[in-house]
Amino acid sequence: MAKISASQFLKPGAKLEAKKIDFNDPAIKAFLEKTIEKQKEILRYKTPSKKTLESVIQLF
Amino acid sequence: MYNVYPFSGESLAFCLANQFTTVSEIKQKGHFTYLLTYLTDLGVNTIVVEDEYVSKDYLHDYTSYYSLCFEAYPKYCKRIHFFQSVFNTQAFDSLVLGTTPIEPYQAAYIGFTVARPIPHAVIGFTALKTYGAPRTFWAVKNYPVNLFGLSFHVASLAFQEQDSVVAACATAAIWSMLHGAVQNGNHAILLKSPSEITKNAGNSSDGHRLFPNTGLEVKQISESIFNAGLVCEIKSEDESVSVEFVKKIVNAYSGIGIPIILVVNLSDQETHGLHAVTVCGFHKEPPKAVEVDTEMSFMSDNITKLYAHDDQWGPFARIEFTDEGIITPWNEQELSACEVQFDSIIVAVYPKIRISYEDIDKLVRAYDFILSILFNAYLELDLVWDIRLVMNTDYRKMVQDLDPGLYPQKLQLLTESRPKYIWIASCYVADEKILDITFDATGVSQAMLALNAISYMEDSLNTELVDFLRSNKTHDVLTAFHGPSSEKYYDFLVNAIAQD
Repeated sequence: MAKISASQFLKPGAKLEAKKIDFNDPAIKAFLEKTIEKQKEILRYKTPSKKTLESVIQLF
Repeated sequence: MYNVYPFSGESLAFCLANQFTTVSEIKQKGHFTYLLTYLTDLGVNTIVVEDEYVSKDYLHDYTSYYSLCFEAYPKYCKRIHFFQSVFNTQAFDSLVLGTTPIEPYQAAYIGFTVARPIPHAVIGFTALKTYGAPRTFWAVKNYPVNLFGLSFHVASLAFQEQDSVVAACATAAIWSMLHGAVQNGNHAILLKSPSEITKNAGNSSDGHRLFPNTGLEVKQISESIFNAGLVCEIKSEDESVSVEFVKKIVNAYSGIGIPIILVVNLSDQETHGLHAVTVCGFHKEPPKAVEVDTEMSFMSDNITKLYAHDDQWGPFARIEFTDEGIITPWNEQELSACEVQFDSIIVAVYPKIRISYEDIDKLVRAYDFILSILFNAYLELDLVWDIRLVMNTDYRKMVQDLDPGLYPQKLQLLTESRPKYIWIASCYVADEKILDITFDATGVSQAMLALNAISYMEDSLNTELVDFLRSNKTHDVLTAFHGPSSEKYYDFLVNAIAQD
């Protein structure tokens, strides 16, 4: 498998540059909050409710 | 002895019927309609019926229940074999006598169904060939079939309908799941008959009798699966489970080859209730370009259909995701107004697998946060993540494709000691894979689980990525991992990419 060059997936002419993340930027702040919120949301699936555990899989 | 019939609706119904179930009753069953369509689509032309067939699964159920009834239910079943080719009794006589070559018959063999000699619930052990590509069936194994000394085989996953006496739909779903689980040569998994599976579920919370069985609670299902040598991860939400989450789970756990039990809620509760089906295949579109969005993108969204053993219809029944909702045989053929929702997911795994999808999803979201900030200004397309649980042997096969000139870590990846089960999170931009991160699936969720990372990007891009990561290791960034090993996960990525 060959290595992927910048032109294969970055915008035409774009050159990747390391930059400082500005956590005062509201967009960055909101993105982080949303990431944490989604992480909590997905972890909730790990704990089934008592209702789920006792529900009877039954067709009538 | 045996009989040979040309395949038709009439002959199929006749072969399935017995002294307790008439041909017209057979024709009213959803299974008959489903099987007739399925077998017609596979091009079946001839049926061979093996009389007085001893089915081990039916024999267990017969011993547990039917032999103790006042009615004299027979002990023997019929086994109905399906062939694509056209032949008659004389031709099949020649085959049995060994005067005709077997190869054309082997190539035309589609599979079999056992017809049980009991009222109504006649569909016993069934193994039928699957439809072909582009569908992927990840819990299918080769069943050897011996017919009068002739060897056939069929790649399938065993199916049977519930008899509502020793087994309800939950038992039938577990039974099919166990058949998929034993395929990896895992000898700790015990194949059981439906009556044994129901017995192993233990008593229900309300103390109701097990036989005749009307259904199992989710925790009884879990108990029965535990007694067969596996453990369960039960995934549910307060309301229904979203389609997106079902796709994520099916995509994630399909790699270990164990079918997944989906609990389906049919909206017309009074007449149908909750129902369990066994998912064993899917139709997944190849990686594609995804526009940058506020939501994180997953490869599992490329799944457009699932294939499940639904004991009320037949094997490999289609569950389709459309803009109008979830389409299954329930609302496609019977209840057009019925709304289908996913109630919960029961994922059976080998006991050694202790890290669940949710644990890895959490970590991948943190990595996505960091990489998105670096890349988003330069990308027209979104990062798309594919999270899958695989066996180490499968991971090593993937590593074998790497060019050692470009990936000097190849030898180490192939030879170092690794856990038997690992999670792989692959990051794509359109159809280009840019990164693989592997995690130990057998460890402790609070510990640092990351094992290796492979960057598929050019060295100059890796250098920029490492510089970016090194210059941004701050408390704010680490909160994305929010756990005791946050810093270790961050440093792991820096070091792994730097080594590339």
